[in-house]
Amino acid sequence: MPTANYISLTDEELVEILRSNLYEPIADSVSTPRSSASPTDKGNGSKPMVERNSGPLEVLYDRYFRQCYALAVRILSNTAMAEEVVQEVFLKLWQAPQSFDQQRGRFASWLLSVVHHRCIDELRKNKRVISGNISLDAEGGDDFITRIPDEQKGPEEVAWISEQRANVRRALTKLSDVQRRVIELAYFGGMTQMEIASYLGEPLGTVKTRIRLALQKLRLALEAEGLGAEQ
Amino acid sequence: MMNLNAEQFEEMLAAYALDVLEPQERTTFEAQLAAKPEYQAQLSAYEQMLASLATLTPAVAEPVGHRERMMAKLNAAPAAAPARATAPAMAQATAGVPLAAILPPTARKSPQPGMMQRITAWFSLPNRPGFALAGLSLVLVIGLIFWNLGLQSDVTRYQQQVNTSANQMAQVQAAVDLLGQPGTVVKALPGNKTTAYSQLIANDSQKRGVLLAYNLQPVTSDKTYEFWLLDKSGNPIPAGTFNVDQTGKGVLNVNMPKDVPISNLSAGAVTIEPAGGLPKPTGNILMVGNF
Repeated sequence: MPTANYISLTDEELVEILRSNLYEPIADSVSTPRSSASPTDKGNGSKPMVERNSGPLEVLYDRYFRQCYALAVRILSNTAMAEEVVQEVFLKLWQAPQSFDQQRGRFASWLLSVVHHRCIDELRKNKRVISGNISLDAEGGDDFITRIPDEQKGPEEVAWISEQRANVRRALTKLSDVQRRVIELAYFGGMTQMEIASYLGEPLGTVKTRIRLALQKLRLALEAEGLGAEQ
Repeated sequence: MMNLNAEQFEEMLAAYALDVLEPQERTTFEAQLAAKPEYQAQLSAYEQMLASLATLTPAVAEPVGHRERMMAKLNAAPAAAPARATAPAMAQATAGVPLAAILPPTARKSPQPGMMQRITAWFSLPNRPGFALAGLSLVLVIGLIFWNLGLQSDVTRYQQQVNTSANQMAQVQAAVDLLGQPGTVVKALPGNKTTAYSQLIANDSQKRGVLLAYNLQPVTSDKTYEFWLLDKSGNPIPAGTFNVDQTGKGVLNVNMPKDVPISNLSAGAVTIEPAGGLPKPTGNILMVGNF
């Protein structure tokens, strides 16, 4: 299996490999889509002189595509566009792995944040109709893990994700309804604070304050659930 | 953007992390944030916290063949960054830069290959007749002239786009400034059976207003978008004309009526009218919002 050598590595170690082989050809040749030519093979001139090993990226892709894709579909409501956005993010990671700064937290959080930002950009760029159905409790969300067969997920991973999800849900209950609503409209609906103010018929200042208090309270609640940021 | 006190800055930070700022606000705040490294940890904590919301998304079936498509894109992508840059330097350059800004722009398409290689190959062949060489030179000169004309046209077009963007930026900045003033109100004007929408940001005491419009189709040069304010009796008051860029966005510094307070206005609307605008609307209402 081409990526077998990397499966046991952490996300951050994989990114470090991507970063370290960005500027120099790799010495050991793991079979990958890019390893068909030798590092110095100029071929007919159309192939790059420096070949990189895509194995680490493939492992990261296999680990996180599903979650990133689900988030993108949830925001964009368009499967083709969602795949395009997620793959674009992975391509950018391939081309600029240094854009992940480990000092700013876990790779998975960073990756999901980037996918989220890209989806919101895409949503705002394209024509959008506010549906009024934006909710943190998406349809079918409650039994998300158990309903979906996934041969790649072991029982431990399923249990871990399920627990994470339950923790996030518990944390969200600490927010008032109106605080939850602004988070929903922003995170999944992609609305700006001005749009939220218009949509809810509230003064902009009220919405701003509500967003700040909601994030502060959610942060404390998640920390209480053991999901605080790693510094 | 005015100087923010600690509470206002934290409000902006939360809004920035949640990505709810308008583009101009975001750009301005990023500049302020860069000067306050003490807030980076808080921003990072917010970003990680918000990423946990992604676990609430219901799973969806993976699209068939997505991995193969990804590998194909990987093979087609540029293999490596320029060797001149060093990894630490790149890392340093991107450290602390907000997420939305750190990914590099999409790689530009390389120039279309083939033509120059074919010409070079042609010249490299032995014993070509001289007249053919002269003919080819003539073709090259003519080609270069047309290329030059094309470049000049491109430069003019890009200059116009830059001017339009700069003008829009200035107007958006005016809107942002206005938002910071006491008494400023925001009114929504949804599309009338279209996905277009707009927002009026207005301040009665200053008699200033800015209209931000989205998702409108560019109109031909003989037409323009015109914004109307309606008094309590429903009489339309012309409030300015505007055009939109290629992305469908338009900005207008609104002529707020000096003798009618906002509280006496009942609605706002946008129509398409002949270039220069009219004193009374004649086109269909594209967007309308009750105040």
